Amino acid sequence: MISPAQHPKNAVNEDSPAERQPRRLLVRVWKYIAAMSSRLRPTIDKKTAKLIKQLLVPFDVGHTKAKLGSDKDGRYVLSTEVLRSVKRVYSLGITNDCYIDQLLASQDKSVYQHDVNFCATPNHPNMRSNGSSWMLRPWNKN
Amino acid sequence: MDAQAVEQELKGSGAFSDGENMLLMDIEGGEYDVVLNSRDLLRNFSQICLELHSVPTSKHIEALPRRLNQTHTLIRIHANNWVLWPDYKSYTGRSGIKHELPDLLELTYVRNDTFSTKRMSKEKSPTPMDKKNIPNFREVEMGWWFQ
Repeated sequence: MISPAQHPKNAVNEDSPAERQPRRLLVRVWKYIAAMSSRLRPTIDKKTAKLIKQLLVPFDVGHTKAKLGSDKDGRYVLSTEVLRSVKRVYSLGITNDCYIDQLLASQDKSVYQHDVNFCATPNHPNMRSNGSSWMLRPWNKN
Repeated sequence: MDAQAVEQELKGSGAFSDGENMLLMDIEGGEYDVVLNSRDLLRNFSQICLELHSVPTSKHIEALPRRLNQTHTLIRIHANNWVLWPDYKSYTGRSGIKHELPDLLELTYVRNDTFSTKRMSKEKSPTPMDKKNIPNFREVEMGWWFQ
């Protein structure tokens, strides 16, 4: 069995400068388009925005937090105290980065993947997919 | 995404007897359906990590945190910097448009029975633990959010 870090899908791509150049150009073009579209951006009234901010105030509950996931994915900051007692993980909507699913599976947690898009081949015995992929192939049909 | 189908499927997976479950959810706007239309789903998760989409435009943007706040407590908020416009001045408040909201928010909730006390967090997003989603784009500073 291979660790998440060894999995080819999670390999870090070290591009050459020549490969980076078109990407920079693409980013510039994207930023330009984005700047133009900013004139059309939606607005929200001040009262509603204030209410949403009040509803989304973070609290300190005395837990330590840990960032899990690959370097390309900064999304998962979790409470380590709660994570320790977790037995099952439900991962809804996974794209081409299932590093965190593999990592949690390797920590002896059962991982259930739902709506698999790209990361279609769970490579750990603790991982299960419902196979209801709307793109590409579900693992259980291979 | 059909919330009832998700609920049924997760129940059918044999879990939910002990509540020691975690939910990771990034379903491109379907999170409103799952959270608002499910019945007993949420209280089975001791930790929920989700990405909230279309924050300034969704008609359910008030209802979702209200629902989650009934059983859980928010412990982390971070704005995804993958947004249509790179002008983050509106978020930082420097342009004077303080009331606009980021398009995508990453949230982490823990269930209320996992802690005994809570106080308002002094951390201001982004924290050193947060990482830019798009490395070439500027991070969305959210200091004004906590004012």
